[in-house]
Amino acid sequence: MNYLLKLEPERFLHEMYKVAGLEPPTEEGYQGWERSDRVNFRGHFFGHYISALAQAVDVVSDCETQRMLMDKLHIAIEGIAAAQTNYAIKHPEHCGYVSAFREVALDEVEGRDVSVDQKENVLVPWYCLHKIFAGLIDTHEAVNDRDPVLSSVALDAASATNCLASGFPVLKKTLFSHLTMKCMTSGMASISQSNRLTLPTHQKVSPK
Amino acid sequence: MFTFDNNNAEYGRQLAQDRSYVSLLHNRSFRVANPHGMFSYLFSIPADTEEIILTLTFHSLDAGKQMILRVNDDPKTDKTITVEPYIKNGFFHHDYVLPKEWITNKDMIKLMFLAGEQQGGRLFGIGLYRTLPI
Repeated sequence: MNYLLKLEPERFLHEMYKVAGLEPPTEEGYQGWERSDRVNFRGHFFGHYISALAQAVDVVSDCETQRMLMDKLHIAIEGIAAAQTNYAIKHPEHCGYVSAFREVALDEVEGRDVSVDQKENVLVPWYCLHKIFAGLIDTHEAVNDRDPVLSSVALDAASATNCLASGFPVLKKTLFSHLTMKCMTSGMASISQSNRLTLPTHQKVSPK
Repeated sequence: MFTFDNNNAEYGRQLAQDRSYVSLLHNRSFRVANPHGMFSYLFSIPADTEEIILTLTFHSLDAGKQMILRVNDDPKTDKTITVEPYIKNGFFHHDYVLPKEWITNKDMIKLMFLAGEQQGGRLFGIGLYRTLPI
């Protein structure tokens, strides 16, 4: 628990904000696999961190610790939503994309030519993205009773992936298979049937 | 509301403000009202909500600072909030159970924070929770 509380979601959001065209909330992000200057797994640890926060909120009995965990969960989810919103404004044709690395990393997986200077050095980009979206779904499920608004923001952010899914066959095989399984318990199925998987409402805000 | 960015996150909550600003402390964003300043947000209320616990996040460095919380633009709801840390150094929380009449049969709730003669406390988070413990 102390480790979770010690980590700062703002630093995880550093690369995600840069990709989205926002000023990062911190001077630097985390290093290790979250680094951007060498081979990396950017976003992977962040996704696990979100899942861990969501699960910890449910089991911790101390109110103050629970509040601190919820603060961090809010910062993480709202930060992702803010990055996703800004990316959608800047790249409306790719609305829904939110990641700590640029889309060019996915192009590479799909076999498209990517010049050396444009490479993101992400080893397994879909795997990293999956962790983020798993974290969003875990949050949606874990906090729905106590904080339905945050739960909704998390679900909307995850749902918006549908906007870019059509262009990436690999996404359908990996990410959506996970989401579809989660749908059975989270209500995603009914939402997808109602064509809500478009730009979420919180993304319809005009940029300042 | 934990992302105070003077951008989409805040405007997505219909930010209105006068004489307030955003900045960072220990990597966490906050908004604070300067003397006679204010800021407000609109929050949606999920259906069937019977009770809301408002949790505000402050930092102990602001001990003693005050601000007024006003709900739905109604001065009769005014409540003076004094930042009273229960820890020596760090972020902490104040909880307020909102009266049922403020939320029953309503889709939205507006929370406004007003400073008096002095600058208010830096607000690092506004949580609206449906259950206690949160």
